[in-house]
Amino acid sequence: MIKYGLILSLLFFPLFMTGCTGYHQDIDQLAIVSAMGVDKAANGQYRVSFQVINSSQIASTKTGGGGGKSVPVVVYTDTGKTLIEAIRKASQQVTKRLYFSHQQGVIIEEKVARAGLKDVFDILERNIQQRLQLNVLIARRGTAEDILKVLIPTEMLPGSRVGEALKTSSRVLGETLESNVRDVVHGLTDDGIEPAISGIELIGKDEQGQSMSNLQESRPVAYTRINGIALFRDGKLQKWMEGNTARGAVTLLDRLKNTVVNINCGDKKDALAIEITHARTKLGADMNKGKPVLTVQMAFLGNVYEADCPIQLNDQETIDRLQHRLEREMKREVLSAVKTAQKEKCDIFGFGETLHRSQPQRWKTIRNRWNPIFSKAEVRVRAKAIIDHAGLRFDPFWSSK
Amino acid sequence: MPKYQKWFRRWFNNPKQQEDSQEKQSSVELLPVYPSIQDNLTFLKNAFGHSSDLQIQELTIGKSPTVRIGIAYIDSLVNADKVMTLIKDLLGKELTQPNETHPHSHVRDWIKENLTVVGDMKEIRDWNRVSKMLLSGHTVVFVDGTNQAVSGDTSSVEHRAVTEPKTQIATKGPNEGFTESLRTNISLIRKRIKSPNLRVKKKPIGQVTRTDVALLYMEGIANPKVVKEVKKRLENINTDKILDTGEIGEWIEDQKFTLFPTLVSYERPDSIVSHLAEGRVAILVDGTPYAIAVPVTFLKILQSAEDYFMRYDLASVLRLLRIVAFMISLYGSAMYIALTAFHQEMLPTSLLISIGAQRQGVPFPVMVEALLMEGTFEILREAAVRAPRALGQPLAIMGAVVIGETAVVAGLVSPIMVIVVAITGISSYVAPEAAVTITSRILRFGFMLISGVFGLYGILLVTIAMVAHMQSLRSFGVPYLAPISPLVWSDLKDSVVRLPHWMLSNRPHELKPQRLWRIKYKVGDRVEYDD
Repeated sequence: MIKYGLILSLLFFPLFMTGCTGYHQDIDQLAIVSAMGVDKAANGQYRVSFQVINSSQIASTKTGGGGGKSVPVVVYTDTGKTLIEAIRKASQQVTKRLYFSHQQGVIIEEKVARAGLKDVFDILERNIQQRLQLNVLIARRGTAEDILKVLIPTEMLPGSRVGEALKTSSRVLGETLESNVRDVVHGLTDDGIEPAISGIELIGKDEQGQSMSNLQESRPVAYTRINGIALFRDGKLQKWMEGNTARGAVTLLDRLKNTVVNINCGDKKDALAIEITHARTKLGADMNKGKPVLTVQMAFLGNVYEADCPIQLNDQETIDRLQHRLEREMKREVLSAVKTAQKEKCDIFGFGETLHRSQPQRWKTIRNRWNPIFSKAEVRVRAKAIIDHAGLRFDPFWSSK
Repeated sequence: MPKYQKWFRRWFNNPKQQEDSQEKQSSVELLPVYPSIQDNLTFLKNAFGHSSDLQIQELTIGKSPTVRIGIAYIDSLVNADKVMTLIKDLLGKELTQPNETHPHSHVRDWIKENLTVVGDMKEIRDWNRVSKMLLSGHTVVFVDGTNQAVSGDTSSVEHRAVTEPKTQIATKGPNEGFTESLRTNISLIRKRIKSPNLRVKKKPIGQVTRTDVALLYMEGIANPKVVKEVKKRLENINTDKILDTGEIGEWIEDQKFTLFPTLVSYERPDSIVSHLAEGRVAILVDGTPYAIAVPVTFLKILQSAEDYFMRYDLASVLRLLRIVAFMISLYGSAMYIALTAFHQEMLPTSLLISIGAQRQGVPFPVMVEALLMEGTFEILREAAVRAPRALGQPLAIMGAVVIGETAVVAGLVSPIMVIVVAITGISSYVAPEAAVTITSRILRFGFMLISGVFGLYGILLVTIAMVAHMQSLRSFGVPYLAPISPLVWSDLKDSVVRLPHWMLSNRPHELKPQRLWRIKYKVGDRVEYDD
């Protein structure tokens, strides 16, 4: 009996040892931060900006009651040696308590990224309010603060726009990466892999973009664009990849969801568009007589999306040819991405990690000089593409006789 | 402590005083009947305190040997026609030649043999029986010169006709409900169980009311130990009045201090019959249309009679729905408080913004707001139940307009709070048993308070305590959470879900019935019913 009592009480006490209590905060006393920006200030300080949601404004617009009277978000800025210092100092301006759990994105100025990301990410990973799924972006043109200040008509929450826009462009175009805090920290800490982060740029006059007048233009004077992928080495930004090279990088990371690839059609250049609906990539790394060999295996499933040339799409041979061309095109893009990365000695694809997993003993001997080894490695790419249909018709309507 | 005990004894448990009063009353009743009718009738009048509805007539019957007889009945309990026929019969018939030795006892025998117009003739020797017979509507005939009386059933008590049940409404299945008459109620059960093994044991309970309480069970199915236990507990009831099964329930419950009902009352004879067939014991009380079934488990209480009449798949879905609704009614408002005051990260962003905007300008913290709204809702609900029917409409309007609309417009509460209160309020009524509804209504406030202090963590702590408490409950020795805990796989067929009837071959194990299998099969033979 005593024994059972002891066991029961031992099971009972852990109930009171959790850390899940004592965070009472009423919902209306929170300043919900939708996005955060980190810029470099003078004398080595950080300049941190928060986009805080003006919830009554957003809710009243939703119900259709007028709206548009005041701005949907407010941006607060302050500087500090550490990020938390800046955050706490900003509370002098904000009436409510800053609440980070619903943040949609963190924007980091390119200057900060070039100087090194490690300091910025500690707080993002350590703070209990922060989510690891938080999207990370690098501000390419304009400061993070300016980007946060831009209001655009279709989105009530510019902060959530950052996350949504990144998601949409990554899933439709495939030239940007949805990298979140977890990915970045993984890239920063693990051997044999480096982080890769997409960029965001501010286009137009930022001064006007910050006022409500921007919301009344059918063509906003200022807007933001997600563009490019930044390559890092040792947590420092090295180079930007854009366009097809960026898509190659996304393919290599096995993060390609959906994209459209143009291939030549007879003599006409880039006249046929193929939509890739499924893509799968497998990386391999091996050491061959002291020299590393990197292998890439890719498989694509696609369909003909647009054909601007006379072509017989009901013919299997034509389809075979198109599949072959698609494979070649994708190989070219992937190779260009690998070459760029090799030139910068930035193994963002994690070939080193693959090698670590397959040959842990060998890895120990080369881990310290992996980046130079990677840059000289031989790359072999194999691709297999299948085009399974051509939409609602075979030939273009004008070519049928 | 001793002071407190003294006080407690004086108020609740004063055995000395009780014994005194008991002696006073019963000593009168146990006297034997006098041989002279004059004495008898005088005594009777005094015993009933010259009550105006006690009717007494003296008659002389027979011609050559005449005999004086006295007739007594209570006006308000008898059928006047029956009494008239009885008297006519007595006057009209010729007496046979008397026995020389005992002329008067001869008359008594003659009355017993010849009076067939009324049923249930009985001999009575003591005043206890006399008063009892009179009070149950019999007419008592005293014969001069004998110390025995004869009583005949002339009762006719006003009661409702059998109608649809008022509370336990079903869209499918039998629609008869119990009435206030015990006889009718037993007949409603008897006509559904055509087996001699249905046992009915009656016993009057209550010193003042002497209400008939009937115990029903199936011999050969019900666990004899449970039957014995129920009998014992019924005998131990020590009260002056019994008007409803609810009063019986409080006396015989296992655990007196719990919010969870450990016995259920039913208004439907078909529910009681299905319980009897599974091996439970039913308790019926004269004067109330509600009957108790024991022992019951928590899952059994959440089931409705309809579950057995509609297709098993639909019934299973409805049972799951009911359990979900019970959870919502328990946790709904508490979850809302926890999410908005502690765990905002668990809400979708747009919902968070919407709630945040709605709560702007609300003067109270979430918990106070929720308690206010739930409290108002409870008051409104109670008022709606008690108010005269004519007031129902204005009450509904006041509730809907004042609470739903104006309170929001005035900025006292947020609209989403009204939604939460409405959902939890409606969910609590999905439970088919009113007792469970009240349980969830009360527990809800506990959950709201703890979630306002500790958030989800507090809800979890109280849930653990609640489940532990439920685990400790017993209904006549049957674990309350059976068949889930203790787990009996074969009983899960009829618990949260209900499998088709042809798969429910055994009675619930937790009841320990005498015959576990509902039906006895013989290989290669017809199905033989086991009863």
